[in-house]
Amino acid sequence: MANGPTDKGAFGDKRDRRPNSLGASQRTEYTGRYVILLDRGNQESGLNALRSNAGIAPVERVRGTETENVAELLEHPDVSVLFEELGVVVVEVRPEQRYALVTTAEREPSIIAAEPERMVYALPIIAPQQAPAEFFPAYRSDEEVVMRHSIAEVAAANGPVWDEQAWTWGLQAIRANLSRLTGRDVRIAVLDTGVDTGHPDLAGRIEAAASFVPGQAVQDGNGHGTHCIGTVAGPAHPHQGPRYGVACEARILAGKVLNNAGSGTDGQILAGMAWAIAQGARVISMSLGAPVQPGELFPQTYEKLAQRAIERGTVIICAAGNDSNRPQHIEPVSRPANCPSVLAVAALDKALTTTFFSNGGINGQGGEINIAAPGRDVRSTAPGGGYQILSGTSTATPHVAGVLALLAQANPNASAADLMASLLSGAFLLTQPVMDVGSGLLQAP
Amino acid sequence: MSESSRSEPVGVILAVDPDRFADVVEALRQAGLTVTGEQPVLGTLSGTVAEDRILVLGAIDGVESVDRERAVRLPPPDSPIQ
Repeated sequence: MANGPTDKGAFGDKRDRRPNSLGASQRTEYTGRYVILLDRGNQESGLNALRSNAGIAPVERVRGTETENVAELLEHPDVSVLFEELGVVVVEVRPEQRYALVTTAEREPSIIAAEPERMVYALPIIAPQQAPAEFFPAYRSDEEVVMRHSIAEVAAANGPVWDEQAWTWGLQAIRANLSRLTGRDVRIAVLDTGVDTGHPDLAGRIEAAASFVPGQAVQDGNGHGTHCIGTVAGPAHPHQGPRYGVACEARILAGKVLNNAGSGTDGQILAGMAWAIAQGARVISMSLGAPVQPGELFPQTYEKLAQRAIERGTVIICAAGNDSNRPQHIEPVSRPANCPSVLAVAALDKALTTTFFSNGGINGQGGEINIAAPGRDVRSTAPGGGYQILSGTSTATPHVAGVLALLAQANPNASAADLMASLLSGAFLLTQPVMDVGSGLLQAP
Repeated sequence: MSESSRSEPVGVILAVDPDRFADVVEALRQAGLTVTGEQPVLGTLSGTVAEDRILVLGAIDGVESVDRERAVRLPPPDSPIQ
């Protein structure tokens, strides 16, 4: 996936600056550039030592106010860039001079530190925030992204205090309240305990419904499925506030694969997935799973099916499971969320920290958490026409399904892989471990 | 020998080559699989088979995976954590 070689200057090696090229950057040890921290009171000594001993490229000086050309200068293979106020110089150095540069840096007292460019590779982990602009320029500029993330930072700092009069805390946390997108006519399948087809908020929103449970109609006798469906696609104006549905104009495919007691088999789930794909679902949302042991491999059959679903344009997301008791005990991501081609969703609480029950990325090979979403004290639809507040990775997962509907609306021709990439690159980085929250907090486009 | 197998039937799910779905499923039936559901377009199916025949199913040409079926059980509806 790395870019092919581009023009090289006298100093510059190939530099791959694409924000998503983490793989390429991790493979590359050195790119020829060093970031050097100089003694601010004695910058010239350090520069002179670098010039005479390591033959660095000519230095261009940048002051704090002159930010316009910096990116260009940094890209230039024959120029080193000095940030005078910071006492930092980013130097271009010939490959054969790298050793000389390092030894000079060690010897010269006015050089505090020198790091090869691979240390700068922390940047791509931040840069993916900007990636959605590549996909949806009409909907989202970089400035908007920065603004959203600033607000999310404030939310994270404020802790679990949310005004839920107009919007549930979950919709605010994922910035769905700021999105102009509605998921209009995008088909989202929720495979669960069915749906309360008579609920005033959901009636008329169900595109198709089918039961794969022998002897039981699609009508939800449990409440789990109705709650999930409300979170995916509850209306812009529920008959009783606050608003709780992410994609208020998405079309629901309600597949009943769990009986009214909440039980189901893999066979029923496979049948429901095939139905959803045949119905044109862009997303299959499954707030279900079975626990696995540490070290256990993902189920190959689900993985094959997920791969074939992705080929047909359907993204599959699944709850990570609620078997943990943090901080002492973290259980691995359940199946089928642990398949490499299935996105696993973790649950966050109102402080945007991992809920105590949320499973973690204990197992490799697909057992990772891919993204985190609101999954504590989530208000949504209940059978009988009302509402209820539930917690669990089951309640986090449909938030992700809703955002995928918004992404699919914004770019109807996007492949399933495109949608997944947009979803993950648009997430808001959290300070918690990747094994707990994956790419971070779900964000609406 | 396998005909006299006394091991209990267990649930399995399988992925097979979708381009020759019918043929592979027929071979699976002959090897002892009782099919309970099939998804020809995606090339998956579910069924039951004597536990000691699972490895035999996996060896059939065109079979890509065999997994033991597992049940999903949600917490009781009145549990606050779902």
